[in-house]
Amino acid sequence: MNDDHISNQIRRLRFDHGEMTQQELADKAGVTRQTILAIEAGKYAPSLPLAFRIARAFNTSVESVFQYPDGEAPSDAPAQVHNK
Amino acid sequence: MIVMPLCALIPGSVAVLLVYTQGTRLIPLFMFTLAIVLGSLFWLAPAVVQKIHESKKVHADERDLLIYKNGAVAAHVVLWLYFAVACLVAWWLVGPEGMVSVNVMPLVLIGAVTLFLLVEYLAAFIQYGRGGKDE
Repeated sequence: MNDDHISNQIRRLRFDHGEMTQQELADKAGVTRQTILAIEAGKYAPSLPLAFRIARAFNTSVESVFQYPDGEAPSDAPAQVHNK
Repeated sequence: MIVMPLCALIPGSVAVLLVYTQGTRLIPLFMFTLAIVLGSLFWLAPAVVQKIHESKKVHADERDLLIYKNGAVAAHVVLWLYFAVACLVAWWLVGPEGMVSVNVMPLVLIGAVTLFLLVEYLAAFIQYGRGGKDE
């Protein structure tokens, strides 16, 4: 059974970028607001291109937005992503 | 936008009424009515497509496609199970030497289409429900 979880910092990054709304981020990443909501809540793991687009929207690297559990864990508890 | 479907529906309804008054059996009449309704709604398609293209907002993305794909897979599995059960039930009801009316076939087909759409939409509904709650 695959037990890969990907955490993310989208919520924190949104607020760091002038309290960017989910809709604004969705427009920049070219997805629906519901998808941003699902990613942020840890219900959906984005594809690699989408992960890059989200990171680009924050002018940062993918690693700063998404973390794999084996890597360095962020200090605040991030959302856990597990696609089924 | 609504004029074209109405233009098709009104004469269609008259046609259904005429066919009904000629003493047509229920199943062919039902199939004819279904064809009239679907044919009328078909005229809405260009307007719907135009509306989607006019809006620059993203309406579907990779997650939507994944949800539709999962829904279609679930619907296909249920569809095959339905056909298997339909065949077994028919065999169980009439026996190996029995015969089934051809009227059963369109009913089985309508049931299959209904079940397919129901499962597909239900699966999509469940998956969208898992997407996280709005704040």
